[in-house]
Amino acid sequence: MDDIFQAIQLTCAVKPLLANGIGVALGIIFGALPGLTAAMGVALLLPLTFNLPVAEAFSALLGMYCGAIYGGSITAILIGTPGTVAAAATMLEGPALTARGQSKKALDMATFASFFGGAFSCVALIVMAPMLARVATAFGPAEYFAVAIFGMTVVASLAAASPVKGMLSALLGCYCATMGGDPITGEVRNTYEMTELISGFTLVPVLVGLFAVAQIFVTVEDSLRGVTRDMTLRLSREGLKLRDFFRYKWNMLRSSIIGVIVGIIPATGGGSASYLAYSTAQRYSDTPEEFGKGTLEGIAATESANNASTGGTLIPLLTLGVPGDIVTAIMLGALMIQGLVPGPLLFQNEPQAVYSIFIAFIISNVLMLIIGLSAVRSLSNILRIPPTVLMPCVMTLCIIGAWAVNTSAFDLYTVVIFGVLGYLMHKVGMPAAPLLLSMILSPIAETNFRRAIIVSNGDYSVFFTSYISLGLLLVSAAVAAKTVWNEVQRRRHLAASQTEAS
Amino acid sequence: MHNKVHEILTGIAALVCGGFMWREASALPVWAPTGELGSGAFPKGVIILILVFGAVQLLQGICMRAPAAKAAAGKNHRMLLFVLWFLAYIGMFVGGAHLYSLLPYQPVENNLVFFLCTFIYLAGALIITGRRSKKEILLVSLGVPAVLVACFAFCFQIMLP
Repeated sequence: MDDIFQAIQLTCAVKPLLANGIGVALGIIFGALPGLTAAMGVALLLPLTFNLPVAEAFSALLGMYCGAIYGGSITAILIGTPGTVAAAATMLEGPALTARGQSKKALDMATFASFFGGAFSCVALIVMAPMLARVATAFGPAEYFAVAIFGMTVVASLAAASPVKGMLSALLGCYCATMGGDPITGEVRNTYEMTELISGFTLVPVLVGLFAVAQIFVTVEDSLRGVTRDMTLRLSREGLKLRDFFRYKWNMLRSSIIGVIVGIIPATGGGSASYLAYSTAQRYSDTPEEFGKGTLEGIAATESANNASTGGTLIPLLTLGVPGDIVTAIMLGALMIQGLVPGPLLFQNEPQAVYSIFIAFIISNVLMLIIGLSAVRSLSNILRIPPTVLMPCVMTLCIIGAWAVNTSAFDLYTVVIFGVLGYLMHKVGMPAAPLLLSMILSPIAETNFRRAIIVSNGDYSVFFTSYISLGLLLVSAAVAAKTVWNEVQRRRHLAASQTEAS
Repeated sequence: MHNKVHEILTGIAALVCGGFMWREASALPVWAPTGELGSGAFPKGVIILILVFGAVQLLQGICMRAPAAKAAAGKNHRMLLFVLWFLAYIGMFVGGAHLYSLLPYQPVENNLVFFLCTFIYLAGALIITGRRSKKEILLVSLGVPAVLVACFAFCFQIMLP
């Protein structure tokens, strides 16, 4: 109990609250601006938190995360361009409501629904994370190997329109993770005679390159090609009535549950959660014919689901050390920089830090509601900055962010390499998320695979004698088989349609 | 949207990268002297899978019936220039810092290199991206590095490149 009170004291002090508020405000801006993403925002904020205490650092990072997921809805509603992938489903209803002069109402609904989803996911995180951590204390190397394999399989299969490219991206991440010291013997490998690679790639420059620099290139290219957005912001006066909010309470509760569950599954994230919640809301709606024509019900579903997924993604991160999406992969780096090792023992060894994260997450959601309702009109003005001006400025932030980790020139080269790689991957339709997540998950898989073999004296059946390990490996195999099946079917349909056309 | 050229190039790139990776990892032992898995087992397994999936990707590209999409010309040159200008920005830091360290004595503050490099980069980048207003270019390329130096170096005490 003392730990909880101390954590409250730490996170409710002036500095953490200020860090949280700044994080939320910046997050809303990053989420709202197409081209700037939640991952980019958290990655750029990360180096600033190195010297901060845990409570302040995670207040800022979680504020940025929650704010960015919510912020995506602003542009989705006002200009029909989702600021983040998580807000893509909101675009199905938002622009239609704006066209009817109900933009303020739609934004208020998005704000309240985001808060509802976020608050629900806080509760889920606080209740489920310690329970899962208790279960996870029984995990051995075989179980951890199975968890990592499950994560990588889902990542590779869900992230790409082409599973082969998804696999290639994931395998490239696995290879990059092998650079440096062998986790068991310490032998140096795959360094290409570069001394800087002996300890492997530093995570922050890699993700700044992959998700910030590459995204800047893509956005600038879009701008140069004339793919510009209409920045005429039409914010109406009529806001949301309390009656409207309570009318959709069950819809928001259902969508929040979907969001948390989807968030727990690696690589799915807010985008999948909001689409799933949207289709479920339509199925259970009294007026399904209104969907797609501008209904608050749709916005309530998508926004509560995508914000609920934020808490869901934190559950496997804190309890197993397995990130659920790109943002939580960056958070994993943040935890490690703070000297915290995510996993079940975190709850035993660092309870104060865990409670601080929980409380900071609750505060982030409250601040998101306050800032969202009060300052959305003024924050929206930043959207008027043309991307051709904004992106070069953000590029300088990327450089500072990557440099600040080790103050090493090699980290700048890493940003360049992964930035150009990420851009080329985007050009050929290869997703970057599997690369990063595999880079984090594959050392867990390799270390625990080899450790399990050593512990069992070379007995490979150790992976199938544990129910958890066996279950996860079977699910992974099923996911892989389903992906291959879907791809075969897709290609068959494509070939058939091409034959018909010719 | 699948583009035949992109599909084939992706497959070739994967195979070429796989070849280089194999060359580097070939000396690593698959088995340790103690009989356990060695440091080369996992990387070699990954490389074999990269080669296999690279070959599958290449075959998929070759067998693809869709015609190669025409490359969007025109603005591509400016995009290439933007990417190269970014590389030059990094080069400016490394080269600038090297020159600075060669000076017998450092007469000015270290952040000046960052300020100058960022000023040149931003001015160039804004011109490349089509900004024409001299006032805007000057304001952004001078204002942003000044704010960054003030914010990071003085407020957050973070060392700048």
